[in-house]
Amino acid sequence: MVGGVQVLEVPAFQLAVWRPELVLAATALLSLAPLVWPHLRLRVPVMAGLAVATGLAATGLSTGSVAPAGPHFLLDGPATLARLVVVSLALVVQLVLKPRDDRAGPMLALAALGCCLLAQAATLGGLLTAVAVTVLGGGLAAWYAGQGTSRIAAAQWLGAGGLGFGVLTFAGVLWCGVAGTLDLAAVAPALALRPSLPPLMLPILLCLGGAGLALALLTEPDRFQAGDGEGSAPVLVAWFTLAPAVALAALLQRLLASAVSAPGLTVAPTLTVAMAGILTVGGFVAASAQDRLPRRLAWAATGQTGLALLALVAAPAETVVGLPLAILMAMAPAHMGAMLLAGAPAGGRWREPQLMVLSGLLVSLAALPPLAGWRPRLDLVAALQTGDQLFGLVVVSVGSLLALVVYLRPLADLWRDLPTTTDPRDDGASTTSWAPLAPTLLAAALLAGVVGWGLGLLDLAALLP
Amino acid sequence: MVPAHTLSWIVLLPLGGALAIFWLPPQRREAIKTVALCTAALPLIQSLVLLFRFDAASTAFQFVEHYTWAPVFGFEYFVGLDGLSLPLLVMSTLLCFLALLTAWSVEERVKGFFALALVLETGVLGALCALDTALLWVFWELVLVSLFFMVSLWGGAEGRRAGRQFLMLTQAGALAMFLALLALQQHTVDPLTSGPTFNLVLQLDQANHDLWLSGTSARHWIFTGLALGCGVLIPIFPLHVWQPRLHRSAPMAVAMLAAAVVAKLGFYGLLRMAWPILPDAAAWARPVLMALGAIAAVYGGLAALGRRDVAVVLGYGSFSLLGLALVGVGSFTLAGAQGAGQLLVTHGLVFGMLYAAAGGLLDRKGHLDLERWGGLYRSAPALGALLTLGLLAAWGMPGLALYPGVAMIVAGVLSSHPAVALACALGLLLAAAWTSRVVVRICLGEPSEDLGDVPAVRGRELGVLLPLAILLVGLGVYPRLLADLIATTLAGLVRVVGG
Repeated sequence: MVGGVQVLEVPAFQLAVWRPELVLAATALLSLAPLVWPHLRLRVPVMAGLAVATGLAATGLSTGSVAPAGPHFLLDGPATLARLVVVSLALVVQLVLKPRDDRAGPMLALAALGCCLLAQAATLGGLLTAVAVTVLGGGLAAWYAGQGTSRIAAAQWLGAGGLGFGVLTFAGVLWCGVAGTLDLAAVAPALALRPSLPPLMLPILLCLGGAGLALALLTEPDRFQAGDGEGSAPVLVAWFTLAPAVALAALLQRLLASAVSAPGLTVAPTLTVAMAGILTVGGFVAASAQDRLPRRLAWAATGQTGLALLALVAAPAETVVGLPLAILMAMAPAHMGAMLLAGAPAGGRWREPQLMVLSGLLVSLAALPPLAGWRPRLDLVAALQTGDQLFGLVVVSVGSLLALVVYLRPLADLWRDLPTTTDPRDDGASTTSWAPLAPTLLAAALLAGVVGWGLGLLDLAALLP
Repeated sequence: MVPAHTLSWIVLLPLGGALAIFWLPPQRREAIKTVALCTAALPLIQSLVLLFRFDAASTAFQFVEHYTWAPVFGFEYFVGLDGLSLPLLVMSTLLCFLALLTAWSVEERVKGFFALALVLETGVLGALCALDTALLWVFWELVLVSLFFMVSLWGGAEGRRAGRQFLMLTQAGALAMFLALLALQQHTVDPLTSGPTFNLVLQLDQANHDLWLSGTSARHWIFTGLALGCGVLIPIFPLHVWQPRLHRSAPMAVAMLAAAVVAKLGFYGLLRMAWPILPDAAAWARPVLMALGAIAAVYGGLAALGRRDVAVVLGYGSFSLLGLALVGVGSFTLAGAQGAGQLLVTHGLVFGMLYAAAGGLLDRKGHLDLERWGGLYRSAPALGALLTLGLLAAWGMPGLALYPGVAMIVAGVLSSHPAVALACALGLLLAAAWTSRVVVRICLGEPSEDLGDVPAVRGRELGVLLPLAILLVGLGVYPRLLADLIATTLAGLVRVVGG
């Protein structure tokens, strides 16, 4: 048993479980080929590679168990789910991406690989590798995808990511050095045995907090969402916002599970709740002040991330699908679908089918029943109530009310502005046509998943071995 | 024998109709309206079947359907009816059907309007049938969101503000209710799974027999959460601030649904959950609730007297009468409770009729300014007569539907709370004043010069107003038709609450 998960000691099986990552790595490597052979066009193979990766990720789920994939990575249940979400959404982005440079697609594959590795990181080396791959892939993808403002944003991402990587390396080496182990899951219990540790942790926490603040300031979500008028850019950046968060949530769940066994060392609840409150309220308030829907959604994603952070404090870590992961997984497809539609209405005008799909996605993001968003929200509130976390309850309540304004008000405005016809000779084609097809269909597919989960027809835990 | 899954059909048919409407081209307005109307007629017919099959002597829930939905969640699909919910269900199906008829003159975004109206109907009917509090809350939210969109999209510029105000206030209340329902869930154990459950029947049983959280303020807080959630929808003074703007801006059909149908959900929530699950907390809150009801009765009447817009006058008049119902519910007497139960149903019929008539006035001249109307008896005598009948009923005139409920409420509180009874009587006096004012301004005198000819009553309007008029007279002359339905259930409720 590894991490409570049954392991099959079959090397070939381990390879099969790891196949999605190998495909992603291969397609990312192949992306370098045009530098040598300019005649090659890799868009189709990259799409095919991602499609295969997604299919094989699903295949890996159905094998009945998971296995460690080398000493530096561990594929457990939450990481399996996170991988499925990350790769699936990367495929969605790939299908609508219209980059300025074809290399954006392969770099996206690289970033997806990094996120998959992040969710599975078991040692410091694995974690640093995953972060490096994610930052590099994400930054390069944004660089190749856009121009002008998007390139500035990409440069910010790379710079801030590099800074974060440096701080993480420093803090990680220090932390693991003191603990005497590079195994991330073993760090927390090891640290708990050293009561003199807290003074050392404070500068580490300050460094991490400072790096996080720098990241938030430098990356400037509104610049990311400028998109330069390119319909796919907001979707790409939305993926960069969500995918690492989902992967990180899966990783943290495993680490927290080990921290539970070390009662002297817990997630700093006061600090975490305070940060969560700032992120939640700040994100939603900033979102409510935005006129453009992509920017509104981007800031609102910050608010949702705050709620996921709150769940770190509220939720017990021994559940199979942890609450932070559940919140992000419920939010991710709805957010991506909304970005797909918000980024490029057909011919600059909304169509009724698009608005119908967008309505469902925004209602789910607002955590209204019976769509996916409300179930993790219900669990979060219940967990906060059980834990007598009054401030957390206040944060969730205020955040929920703000979310209603953020998501429902623009929806009402869009429906109100939908072109109506009073001419009986009008055949209605201008308001019922299904163009553009791809984003609407993809968003509708995401909505179907959201509805299925919300109605209880889709049980994520049942997907796990 | 009632066909299987009748309740589910009643609840989900309107939603099916909304989905069917989605596929119709938007320019086929008549087809859209016809489909919506036919869809709304089916639950009405089915609810009448249930009405005739209902055993009024039983206190148990009837026509029950119970399925496990999300066991890990403690969430079940559990629906049923009793003497409290069945009359409200029948009333709601009738008024939703008539509201769609009233909305026939809507020409903008017809598809969206009628689809949302059907979704709202699903929410209302589902909330009335639900015996799982999480399921009830899901349908509750469906109602709030549907109404928000209907007000925002069809209410003009003021409708946008009204919609936002409505959304924020009702969602804040719904959130408080949500927290209370979660607390109830966590303290209720399902004997089959040994886990927490939202099952309302189990909560009703365990909350009082197992006395969980007894001796703590937690029960008061839970009651407050429930009362806030329900109170903002009724609305209870001073949570009523969203109502005048909504009635001023929204189409008459929407105002009709809000006042006559949606408001009853708030009372239903109090009577279904707050009172029987937490009777000690209800007793603790009784003075406040009765005081707020009495204030609403007087304040609503005064406000109605001072307004020129008929829709706003009706809104405040409705608010005043619902204050009386709150007094009756809070009195914990059999007469008060039964009076409130009757008032809830008859209030819906009366104000449904009044808003429909106001819709007819608005269709003719595009405004509802009392100072600019007059002479309706001369120009459209049938419409004038029906409007007058509705206003007399709203006043509580003996022989019409509202009177038995109002009389029982006043009688129920007179001996125990004479000051409150006096306030209720004052509210009725004010009702007589504002209804008389409306009759005089609109119906009597010479028609205003700028009005010109007013078309006579249309067939569609007669189709809406005449059945309601018959019911108003019938229930006024023979109130036992309704009283016998609700008596057993409310008597049981009073026994639980009264201790």
